[in-house]
Amino acid sequence: MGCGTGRIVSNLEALRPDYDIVGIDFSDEQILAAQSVCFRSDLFACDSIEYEKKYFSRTSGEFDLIFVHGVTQYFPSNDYLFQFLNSSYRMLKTGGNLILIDCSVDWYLEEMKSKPQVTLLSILKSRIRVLVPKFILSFIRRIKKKSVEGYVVESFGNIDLLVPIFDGFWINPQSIEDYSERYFTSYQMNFQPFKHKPIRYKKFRPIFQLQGKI
Amino acid sequence: MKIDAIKNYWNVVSKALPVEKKDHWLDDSGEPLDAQLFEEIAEYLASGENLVQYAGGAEEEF
Repeated sequence: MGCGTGRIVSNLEALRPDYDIVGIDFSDEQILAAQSVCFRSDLFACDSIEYEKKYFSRTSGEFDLIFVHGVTQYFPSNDYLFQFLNSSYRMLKTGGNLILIDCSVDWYLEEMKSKPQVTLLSILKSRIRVLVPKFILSFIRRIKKKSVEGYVVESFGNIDLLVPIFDGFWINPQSIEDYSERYFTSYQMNFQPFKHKPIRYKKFRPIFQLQGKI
Repeated sequence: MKIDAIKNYWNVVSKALPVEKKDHWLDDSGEPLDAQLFEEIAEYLASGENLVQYAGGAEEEF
């Protein structure tokens, strides 16, 4: 989910010709770009909830793995996050995995802390494990290695989340301003979380792995 | 904020950017992350084996 221009999907196609792959992204423009490098995956310009409603071909349980990286920090609310988690859960096979790897802005973590994660907990119950793929360590080193300070553990209910600490990540304000006036205007008008400059992503979001259906 | 506003944001962003930056996987200097990273992520997804599990509170040295 959030396949963007297909840089992961295209590699996965090459590595695993036996996989049936679906890539979705909010952006029509990015899906168009992905279609130029991905040749056998199904690509959709929509969000995951829309995907489930419109395109998901079964009542439940089609996917072995749902991989989400760099997506949930753009969600508009916790309610939407919960819809997304529930939707993902319905689409996973028994024994399937949801791997969720995202960075977070402070407002988002604060929001999560301030509200009971009832829906999240009802989905995950006590079966959550915190997992860090090795590539994430590589990713961290490349992006902002000097500002990685270590990990902290945040607890939400009975879920312990391993959160690498960052100081600035993902969006580079200077580069945004360089891109285009149109982009910048839209970003100011529409994107509440990014209004407060300088943008400071201080934490890397936890990694959830939902293993198996409950 | 609605999900449509976020979709609109990404479409505007994507149209404004060159193809290599459309997905905004950029490093700290605003340059696209190198291709090897995406190969590594795909390898991870393909293998399903290289997960490092942490017990609560465990820390990793970089």
